[in-house]
Amino acid sequence: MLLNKTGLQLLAQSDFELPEPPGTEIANLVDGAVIALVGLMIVFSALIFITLFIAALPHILKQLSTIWPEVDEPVGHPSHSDSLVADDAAVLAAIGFVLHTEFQRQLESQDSSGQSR
Amino acid sequence: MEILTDFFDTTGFATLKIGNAIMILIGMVFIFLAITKDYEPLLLVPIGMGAIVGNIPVAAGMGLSVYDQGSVLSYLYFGVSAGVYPPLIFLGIGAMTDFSTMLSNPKLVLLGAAAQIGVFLTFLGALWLGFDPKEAGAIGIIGGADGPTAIFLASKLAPNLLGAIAIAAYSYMALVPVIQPPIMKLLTTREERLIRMKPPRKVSKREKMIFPVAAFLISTMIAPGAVVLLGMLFFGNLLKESLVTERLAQTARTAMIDVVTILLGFAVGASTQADTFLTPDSLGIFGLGALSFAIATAGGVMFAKMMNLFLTEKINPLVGAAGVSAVPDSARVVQMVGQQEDPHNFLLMHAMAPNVAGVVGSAIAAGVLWSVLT
Repeated sequence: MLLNKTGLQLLAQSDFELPEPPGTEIANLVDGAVIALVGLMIVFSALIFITLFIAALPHILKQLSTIWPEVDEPVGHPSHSDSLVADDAAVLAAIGFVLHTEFQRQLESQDSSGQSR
Repeated sequence: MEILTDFFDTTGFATLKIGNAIMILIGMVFIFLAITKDYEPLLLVPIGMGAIVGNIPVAAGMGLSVYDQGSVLSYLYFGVSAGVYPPLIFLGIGAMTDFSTMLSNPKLVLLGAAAQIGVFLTFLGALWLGFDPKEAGAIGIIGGADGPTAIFLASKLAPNLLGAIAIAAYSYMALVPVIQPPIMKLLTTREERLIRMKPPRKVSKREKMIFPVAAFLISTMIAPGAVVLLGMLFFGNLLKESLVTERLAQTARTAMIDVVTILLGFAVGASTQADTFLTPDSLGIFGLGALSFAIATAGGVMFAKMMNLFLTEKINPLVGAAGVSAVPDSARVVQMVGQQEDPHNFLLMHAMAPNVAGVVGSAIAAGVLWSVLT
């Protein structure tokens, strides 16, 4: 009864129709005990599969990293505000460099004109 | 004068029943415990205030109660009765949860499964006490120690018991620091409590990104009934770990979960009206709830001891108690009990692994019970 409810079973049905719900007449403790036992087994199986997957994951990723190496930098693009900050810093540096060069040139030209007087 | 007399007949002073007074007192106790003892304040304050609001007697026909169609409270309660709020809370929990410790030590996941024995044994206990199978399933999930899961399953299987189940689940979650330590100490020796575990390894970003999608597929293929709760949990976690949706993750784990917690707590509290809540069934539910927490704790600890029979690198059996979920309270209790024996033994990170596995386990258990009992 429980196996008929798994996702694999649902996927296996060609027309993807949900199965009819099972009867709800669970009249006694024996049926309840069966449900409890099978339910606990399902919880264990799901978490055992997750455990096995987690245990295998580093090995899978090790193989994967040979063709697709992992980079340490954040994957996402910088946010709009981040990019603005970065750009601002670069622009300010460029402006500062140009002003410094221009003032330097003017000072040099003043010096040279003073000397010529 | 007649108008005044008529008005007096509609006031709470004239219509208050002893049951309402008891529920208002219970609401006040919740608020008191939350404020003075810091017992789950984010839940007990809204629930306590809701219980007070819900138990003010109102004149028939005014359409004010949770159970009156079209009332404001009934709209708030719709999120509870239709099972809307719990998955949204799971989304926020997913966006908060770091699965790193679980990924670094996968065998601890099994402790989250072992603790679910509390759910299924309580289900049997409820059947034995005469509850019908659907009600027994909804009561059993209290042992999962997960409030949203308990509310979700109760709304699907036994809406008539929803208030009592929700209050029991959250009350016992608040009492985790009181319920668990004696059981943990009773079932372990001092030598076992002194076991130190290897520090968790560093988990790569890629592992953390792949895990939510893979774990969702594995668990819901086996138990499709858990698709809503686990879907939201792992979606929230993917928002966090993908690194490209930080804004969404931030919203899910802060503003959104706070809004839903307020609505859920208040609506659940308001649903605990004396005539529907103060029944012999509620007493049975509270008794079974306490039992289920105890069994779940014992199940996790005993399973950890059993695992130690086969493991070369022993695990501290105290971490098994964290399998009952109740994130992060039960993990904190493990840390506290462990440090009572050895102040330099840090078990919190290790206990978080069965703790988050317990959340997944209880959602799967809820899915199984929902599938089988409907």
